[in-house]
Amino acid sequence: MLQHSWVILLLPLVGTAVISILGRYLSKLATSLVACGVVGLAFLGTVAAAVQLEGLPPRLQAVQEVLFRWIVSGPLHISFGLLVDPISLLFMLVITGVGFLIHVYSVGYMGEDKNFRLYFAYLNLFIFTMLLLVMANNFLWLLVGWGGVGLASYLLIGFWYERPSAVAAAIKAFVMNVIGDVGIFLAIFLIYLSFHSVSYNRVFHLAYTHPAAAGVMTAITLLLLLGAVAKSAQLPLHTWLFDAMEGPTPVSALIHAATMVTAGVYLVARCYPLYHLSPTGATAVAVVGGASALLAATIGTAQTDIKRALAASTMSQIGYMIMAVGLGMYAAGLFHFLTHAFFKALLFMAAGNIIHALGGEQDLRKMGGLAKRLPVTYWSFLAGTLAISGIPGFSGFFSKDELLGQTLNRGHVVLWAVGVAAAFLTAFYMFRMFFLAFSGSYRGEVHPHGEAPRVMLVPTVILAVLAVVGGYLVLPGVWDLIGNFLAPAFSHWHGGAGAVGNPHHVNWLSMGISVLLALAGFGVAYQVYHRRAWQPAPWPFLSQLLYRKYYFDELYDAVFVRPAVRLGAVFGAVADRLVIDGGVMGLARGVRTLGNGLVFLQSGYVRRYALTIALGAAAILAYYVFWA
Amino acid sequence: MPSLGDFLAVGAGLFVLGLFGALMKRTAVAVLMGIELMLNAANLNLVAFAAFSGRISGQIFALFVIALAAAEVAVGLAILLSLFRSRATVRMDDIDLLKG
Amino acid sequence: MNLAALLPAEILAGTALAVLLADLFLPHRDKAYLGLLSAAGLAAALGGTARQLAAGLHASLWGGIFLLDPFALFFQTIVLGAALLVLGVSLPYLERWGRDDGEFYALLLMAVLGAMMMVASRNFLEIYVAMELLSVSSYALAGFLRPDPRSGEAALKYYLQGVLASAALLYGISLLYGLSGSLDLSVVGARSAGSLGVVALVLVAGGFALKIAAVPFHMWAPDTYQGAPAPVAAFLSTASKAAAFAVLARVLLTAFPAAQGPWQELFAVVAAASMALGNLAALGQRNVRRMLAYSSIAQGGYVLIALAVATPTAVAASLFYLAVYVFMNVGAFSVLSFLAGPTGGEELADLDGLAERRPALALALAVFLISLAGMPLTAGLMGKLYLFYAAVQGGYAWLALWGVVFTVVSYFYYFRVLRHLFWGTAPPRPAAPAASVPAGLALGAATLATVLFGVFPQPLLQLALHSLGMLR
Repeated sequence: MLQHSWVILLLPLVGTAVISILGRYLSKLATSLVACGVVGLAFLGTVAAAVQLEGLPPRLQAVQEVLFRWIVSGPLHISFGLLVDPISLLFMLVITGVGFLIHVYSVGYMGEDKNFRLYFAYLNLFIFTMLLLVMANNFLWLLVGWGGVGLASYLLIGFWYERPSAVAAAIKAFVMNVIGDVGIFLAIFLIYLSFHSVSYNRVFHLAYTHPAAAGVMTAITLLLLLGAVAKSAQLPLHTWLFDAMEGPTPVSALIHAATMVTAGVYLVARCYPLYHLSPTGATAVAVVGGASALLAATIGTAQTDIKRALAASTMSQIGYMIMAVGLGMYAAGLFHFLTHAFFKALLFMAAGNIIHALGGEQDLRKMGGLAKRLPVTYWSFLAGTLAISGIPGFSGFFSKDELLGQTLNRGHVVLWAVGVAAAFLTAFYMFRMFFLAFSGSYRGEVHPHGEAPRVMLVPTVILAVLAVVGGYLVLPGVWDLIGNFLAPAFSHWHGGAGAVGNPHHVNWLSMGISVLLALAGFGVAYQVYHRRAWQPAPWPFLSQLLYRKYYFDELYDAVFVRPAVRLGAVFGAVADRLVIDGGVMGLARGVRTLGNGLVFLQSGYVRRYALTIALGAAAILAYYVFWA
Repeated sequence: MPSLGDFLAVGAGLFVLGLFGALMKRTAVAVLMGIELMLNAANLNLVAFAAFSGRISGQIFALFVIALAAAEVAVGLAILLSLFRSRATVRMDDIDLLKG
Repeated sequence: MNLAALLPAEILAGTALAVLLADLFLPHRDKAYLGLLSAAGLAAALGGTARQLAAGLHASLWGGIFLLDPFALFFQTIVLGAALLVLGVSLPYLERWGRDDGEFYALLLMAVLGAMMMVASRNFLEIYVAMELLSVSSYALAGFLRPDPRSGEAALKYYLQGVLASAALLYGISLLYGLSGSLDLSVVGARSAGSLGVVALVLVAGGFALKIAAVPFHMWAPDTYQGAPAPVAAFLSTASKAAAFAVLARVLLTAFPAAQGPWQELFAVVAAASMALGNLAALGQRNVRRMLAYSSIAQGGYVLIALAVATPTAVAASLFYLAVYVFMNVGAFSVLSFLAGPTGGEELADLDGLAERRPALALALAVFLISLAGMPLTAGLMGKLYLFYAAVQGGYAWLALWGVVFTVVSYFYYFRVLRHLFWGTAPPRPAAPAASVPAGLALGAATLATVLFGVFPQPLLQLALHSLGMLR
């Protein structure tokens, strides 16, 4: 399987193609089987590849497979190849494994949707592009995958395109991601100028044998960071993630929690030789991650929408990962990525079960007392909450403490303090959410349905088990299976030293403090929210500030969006068209509204056309004769 | 005997006059006439250049242009005629089915 | 020697005359044979030209009036190939409209002949005559569906602006002639310095730019592409555009290398404006043909990057792009030609659920659009990649970035069509007519080529680079 990893990559694409082309002839059951089947097979293939890779000697654990040489004429050499090494394998396992569970879950969640097939076509497309992103062996194809996941995410956020808010959210996500794409494009451009290649192998090699100027390396790493920040919803390009919750909940679980938003972590980890060469870039990564972790955690304490609260938590947890990879603690960051994929996907799926039971209600203020009505969901959500809060024995505890302990070991006291503060807030807002949803009495109006169908519960329970036991891959002071697995990947090029922490250097101080703070967070939440009716926070200004997410949206609106809209009728018309018609809206609306906007010259009157031509030619002539 | 400059000036005048007509006239036939003026401005240039430089190629070119202009106008009138049959107008501002 | 080298053109001219003559005598039910005869003529000419290209012919004919070099032969092959595809699609189209007379084929062959001669000319007189042959035939083709007022309007708009531009072109040529005393491309440029030379050059370039539909000379294109018969729109947007580009490149690169700075600047702006306007205007279109029209203005913009950069790599990239563009754009217009009827049928909503009604057609259209958008594994991406790469290499990184940004913009409208194709819910409607064998062949070939050149671009790239070698 290792030599034929292209099969893994292509399976989801086949799924998309089959569902798109034969969709009309497929029943819902057949569509589900195809969509889940290809991802399931891809997962089995990935497992087989992982087993094979483990059998190889460490220095051979990076299998390159050049599928075809695209262009070899002239100075331009671009081939399309795949790189399977421990880093990409870890991501592939999560993408296909968690992806498979979420596909199965979606069969139940989206069962009644009229665009059932379209949904699975998109979902398979997403898996394909995400696999492409992590499997590509050069920057150009990474960018293709990078843009592809952005497209798939855009399509899925705007999936319920009858809702204007969903379409607006999709466009917001797309625009912010395009900003990041441009950053990566510029980074690749600089990389190509400096090293005359876009393949990882050559670039990472040449970065040490023929080093570029320090300023160039810093520019490259900062531009890559721009891409990572946009995709991973970190400061300051994070606002789209909250609105992205407009998409179906399984999408939030898969794309906006477990996989796509962690692409930034992948990018920095993949480019570790470059970040090693640019301390400025690496520091910027760590600072952005730490700041995002803390800021998002505070935002999480004031959200009333269960999905938006989870979105804040996602941003915060990814902040931890970004901080870790920025500090060079790659194994710790990737370990947290793994456990986070388990417990965050779990939390979203459990939230999905609640939303399903309440007929679409997402407001925490209208929940409460659901423990008895949704027992399986209750226990699952509890497992996820314990895991993310870092309660000892659950997966988040192991990964977060490995991360924070190493941070302190390396002497980054400020970032460590930020991390434990965020850990306290995490425990607080998670148990707040938990108590608001499950304890006390029911506060909503709609009569809740019972537990979700089995097709949704089984994946939830599997993830709950993983969220509990996943952490034992790294047992402090005893073993470090993740570190052992990843170590070869950080030995191919320079700059990987210290990527894997020493499992025997356990920082008991850090662990003790963060456990205490987690318990404190639990305690505060228990005091305030357990068995209480909803009550507004005592400090309206602060809670409003947090609820509004520090007014970033309002700020961007005032600084960027409105001036842009004001730029004139031309831009306004285009923006309108984008919002109203937006590529995803297949509605026949406003056929002629653009007639007044951009193409007002295209009036149908041939005389005006001729005049345009003449004026255009005259302008060109005038330029040459008078100015040039 | 007028100089080369005189011919060129007349040519340029014709060209601008034709361009003005082509841009400003409301009926297609008048536009065609304007364009004819522009073609003949070029012809005048070609012939004048040829005469003053003693090369014959410009005059040959002008002959070609005359023939081609005739073909062009024939096709143009045919198009106008067929359009007139279906729309009953040659006023250019009435011909606006296609726009946007 | 001269006549033998021009054999493909002679075959074409002979076929055109034969078709016109036979049209007079054939009873109406046998008119389909005229189409087949034309196809045979085109195929023979294509075969001959391809052979000359493969053999690396480099012949100067009649004292340098014609130059059959690989550059010209490359474009002749493109034009002939496009025409053959267009012809295949035209057969059922014309039959459905009841306009399957010989005239259409004769006109198409004449237009192709004009384009062929145009790209091989090295003399302004010959360029002008050949271009008029192409233009006059095209005007008539655009207005060929006489019962449809939109067709007439399309023809009139194209005609009036085309004639205006050709008058300007001619005036520019006359100035160049006066400045240099010659009509020969190799002589003209060297002796046409000064601001009057620049004026003349802009007038000449404008004449060609109109055929390329580059901003600001694009105004006719949306209306004409929408109103003209769909196969004609396919021809105008590909073969005619490619021929005009070839002449423009030849004029600029061989006649005016000295004035490179100014015209590079000019084309950088024109290319950027075409990409922006084409892609932005396409966003709002609900008529798919009109959307494709704006898209092809944008595609013209991508190609014009080559003239701004003006390095051999860039020009080779544009050759590659135009070659694959023929397949995808003729293909896209052709699929629409099957759907359109006298009452329209080219709105986005008309494509709803096409995948169910006509899976093969929908799949073909999807391939063409994905390629036009520049998605991976299609010829379109390779072309764009190569063009943008050449731009970066040639110091026009901003132009490449501009292109990338508007490529992303273009995803919106291309993807919207795909959504309608595969996921639109279709109201019941009469089944689209079955594709005939020639049309099926043409579409199949275009689809195959679009994918093949995306996966294996290498041979075509080599050919493009080789064709360039002897341009200067």
